[in-house]
Amino acid sequence: MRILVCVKQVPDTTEIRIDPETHSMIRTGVPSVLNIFDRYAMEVALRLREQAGEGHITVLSMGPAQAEAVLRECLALGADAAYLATDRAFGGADTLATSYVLAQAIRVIGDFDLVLCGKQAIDGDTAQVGPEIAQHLGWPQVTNAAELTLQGDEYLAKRETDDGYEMLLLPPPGVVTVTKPPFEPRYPSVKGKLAAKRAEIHILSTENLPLDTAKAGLKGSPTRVRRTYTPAVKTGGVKVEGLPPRESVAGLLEFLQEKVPGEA
Amino acid sequence: MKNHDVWVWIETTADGAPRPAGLQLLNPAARLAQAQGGVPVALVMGQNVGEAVQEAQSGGARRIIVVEGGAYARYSTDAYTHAMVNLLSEYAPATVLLGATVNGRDLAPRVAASLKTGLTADCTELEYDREKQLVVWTRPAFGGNLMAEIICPDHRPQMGTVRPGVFSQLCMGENRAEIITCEVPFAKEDIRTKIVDTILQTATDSRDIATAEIVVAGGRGIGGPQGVELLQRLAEAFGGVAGASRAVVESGWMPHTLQIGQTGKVVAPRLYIACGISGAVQHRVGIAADTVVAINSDPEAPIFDIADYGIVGDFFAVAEELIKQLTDKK
Amino acid sequence: MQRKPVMPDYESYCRDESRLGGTAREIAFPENARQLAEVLAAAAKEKLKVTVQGARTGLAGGAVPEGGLIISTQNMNAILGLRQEAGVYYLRVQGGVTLEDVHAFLRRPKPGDNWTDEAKSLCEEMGSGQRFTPNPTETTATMGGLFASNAKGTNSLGYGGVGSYVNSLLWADAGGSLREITRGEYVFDQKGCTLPGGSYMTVADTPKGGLPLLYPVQGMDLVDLLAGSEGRAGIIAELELRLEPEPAESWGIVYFFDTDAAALGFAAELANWRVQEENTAMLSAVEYYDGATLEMVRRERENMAALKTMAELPTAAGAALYVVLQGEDPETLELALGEHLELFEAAGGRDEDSWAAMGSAEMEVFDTLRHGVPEMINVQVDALRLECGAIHKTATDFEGPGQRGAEYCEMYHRDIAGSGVEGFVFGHILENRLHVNLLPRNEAEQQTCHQMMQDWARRVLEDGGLIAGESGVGRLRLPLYGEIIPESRKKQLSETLRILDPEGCFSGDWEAVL
Repeated sequence: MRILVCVKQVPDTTEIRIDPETHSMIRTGVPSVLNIFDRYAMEVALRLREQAGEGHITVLSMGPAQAEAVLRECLALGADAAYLATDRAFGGADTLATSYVLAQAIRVIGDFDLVLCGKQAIDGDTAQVGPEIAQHLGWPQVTNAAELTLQGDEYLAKRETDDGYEMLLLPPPGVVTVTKPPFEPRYPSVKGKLAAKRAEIHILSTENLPLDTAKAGLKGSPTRVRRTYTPAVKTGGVKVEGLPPRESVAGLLEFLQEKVPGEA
Repeated sequence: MKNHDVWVWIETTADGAPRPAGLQLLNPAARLAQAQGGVPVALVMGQNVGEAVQEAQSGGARRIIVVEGGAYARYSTDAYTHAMVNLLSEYAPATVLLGATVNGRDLAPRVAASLKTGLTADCTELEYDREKQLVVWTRPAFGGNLMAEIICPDHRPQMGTVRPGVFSQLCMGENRAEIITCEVPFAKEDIRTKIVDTILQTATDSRDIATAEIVVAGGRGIGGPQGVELLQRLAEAFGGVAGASRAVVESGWMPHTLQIGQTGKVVAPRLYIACGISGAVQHRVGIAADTVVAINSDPEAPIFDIADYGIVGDFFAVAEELIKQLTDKK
Repeated sequence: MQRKPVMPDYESYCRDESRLGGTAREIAFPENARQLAEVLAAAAKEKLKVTVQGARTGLAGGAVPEGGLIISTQNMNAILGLRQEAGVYYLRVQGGVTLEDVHAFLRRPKPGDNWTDEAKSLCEEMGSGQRFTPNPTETTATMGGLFASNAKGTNSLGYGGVGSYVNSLLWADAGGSLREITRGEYVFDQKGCTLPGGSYMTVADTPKGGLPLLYPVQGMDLVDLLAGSEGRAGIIAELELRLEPEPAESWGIVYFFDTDAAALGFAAELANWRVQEENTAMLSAVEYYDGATLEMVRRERENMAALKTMAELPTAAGAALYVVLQGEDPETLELALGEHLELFEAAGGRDEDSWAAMGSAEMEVFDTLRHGVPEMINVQVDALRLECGAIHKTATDFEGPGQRGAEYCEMYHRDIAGSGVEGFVFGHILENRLHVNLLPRNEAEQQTCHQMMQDWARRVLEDGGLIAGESGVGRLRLPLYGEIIPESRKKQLSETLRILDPEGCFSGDWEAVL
């Protein structure tokens, strides 16, 4: 069984602060981490391999050179090979251009039964790259899977839906995007961590990937960011002081009726 | 054939009923369509979709494209992508909206990638730039720390998924829509994923504070066991569950399974009512609520800093009054 | 300086993390040294007993009042400035600044508005990458409180307590006088030392009697004497903290073992490794968790947000050691790790039952474990107390002879098993500073626990160890161990206190025992 896990290095959004004066996002000093849903995808890959008793796990990322760090994290957890697609020509990509490069990389590395992605990256929250990779490859997909196991030659996914769960059988080769599973991802072992420090990271670029550069990077991105701004900060709410309970409570219920429809 | 219409996917459930997320989008679709010089069009796929068609009509659709057939009886990535891609290629509308539901976010990127066009995820605002004749898609990023305005200048259709609940459904009883039934053949056997089981779970255990919709939490300011009793009655009146601050658990008034905060649970209800809780940082990290209400006798209590509505007053007096007014309403 | 009645608004200030409760009439919240001195002077005039409080995170009840006035330092929370001398940075803070605040400042240094221009530009220059090395787990504690209990951090094996990283103090004594005390200015010679107020303190000529505090010896600096004086000798208005650059490399490893014996065997091997090696890789912590503790983590994690996202513990794990290695050279550290791994496997460990983290961000999750464990036990105690009011937190803070950690650990386990009480053992195994936490279910068991603790305390004293290793004596431990402590040491302690606090303003409760 050959599994490929797509991972992304993202800024730790819990550490992001807004400069109160300029209202802009302070990104300096914000640590870069492995996207949490990708960590879940990696854990799912490891469990599948354990269930099968065999298997090869490849990790793939697109990003700047320092994104190597998250690939090493996956190697430490037990991935067998790591690829980093990095090239100036890939910069400024939206989800379509990103998924195009990743899909081309997956074709070149070759011969996978399963591609796993985190449900979404916590910086962009688009949840689009996984399904778009599947479309580029022409493979079936299951998105939002909380669990994934082998069942015969196929994969059995527990997909979280708006109404509960669906159990879906997916034939290989396919793409699955992973949401929070009912278990927590493992930590690397000492040996894993030490080996990962020395492991080779294969670099993919326009030089060794068969690409139509018009479809990659900013050039290949149909969308543009026109403007970004920080949302209005939550100002202190209403504070009622010195009113008899009857009035303050009436005011509260009125407020709730507007703010939390269906309540009160 | 290019047109200026705005298409909306009316998502249906397994029994053919429409989901609100799609119907809501007919509202901004009407506005955008008018600006673009087209009409709002509803796309309904499924089986037994009579109700969905009717609701799309009263929701403001001027044209309704209906795709019916066994392969569409339940949502599947393969069949729905196939039909949507075919229809969008044929009709070439300027704009397509989908609800950012689980299935909407499954379908939209497949369709966008197939049509090689741009897609903006989980939008919370939609505007139209008349000068450039573009939809301006606004969406949060970086965990809501940043808002981004996205445009799709040169590719059509411009596509986006929109967060459910951002727009409300229109109700235009008199509206007359043109209904077009389209045949998009697709064999059920060609759906590569097979649903083997469905587990319906309408709501998670509402008695569990970690998943409850409404949490009424008490702190040291509720005074003692008597206060706990009142807190529980208040929680009941709101149809929620009672929770506790660390101080209350430490005092032995409530069990630690109900503790909220750093050393307890994180709660993410729609409504959080903090009673007699001062609101130390250690407690606040446990609150991920949409709306926070605080009742506290100390006007300086830090809980007021994060409260959307705060009442400075005695817990017993305010809570009794709240219960009274809530019961009176019912 | 305004004082407020404690009841009803400030009732919670009568308790601390020890779960002991007391009473007080009034409370004051000074915001700076001047206000602090004012309130102390007034209290002295009225002959009020004074209890000083930081964040009330202490485990020994040091912040629990017994009548009189509470002085809370919680509003003395400003970071005052930064200076540099001989390449070392010194950060000046008010006593009520929390360790969390200090960490946050060091992560992203931002000068205060009223800092001098020099300090501001120095702050810019310093950037991130400095740390306050002793890193007590309780980050919500105040710096004044940490100094007053001479708290030991997670890295105490490598670096020692908080006191050694304080360079200078602004000290408010019982009369309300403020004195700046800087390291090197007041050092005890073979006889004693003249203190800032002019009084003279002689060096101790008694055995230590298991108590690390207020025990002047030749060569000791007054700053070190005051470190660990537990608010009984004066109040810390301001402190100057000595910063150090972050070590280039840190590794945190949790090693899991099937059996306790394997874990203790590995710890012994690490102790050997530590003395043999002359490399730059420093073993800065070796913490032990017994099987009962791990079992509790498995059981209780669902109820604790901080631990919920931690990976499942290996199912077979019956004991664990958390090892922190720090150093400047990555190669040396990796070499050391390789050696440890060999020792681990020789002790019966399996690589897949190890958790490895590199750098402070990755190590954070393991820190939540070490902090979460005592919190979890507190929650259990609270639950038991609901059933039986006589139950209170029953935990040891002994430090036995360093080499005999395993022996002590076995003794604790043997006695706990014999008593039938539920108990948890964890802590710094190489320093033999193990925390034994007991969960008595009724009054009889509570009695059994007391007896066990007293027996252990006697053993510790016989072996020349400490009965208050790192959380202080507070209000809890003197009554508990009063009979065990040698009379001569009690007398010395009482005399020393009398010199620093002649009217007994801070030490009312201790006097009764001493």
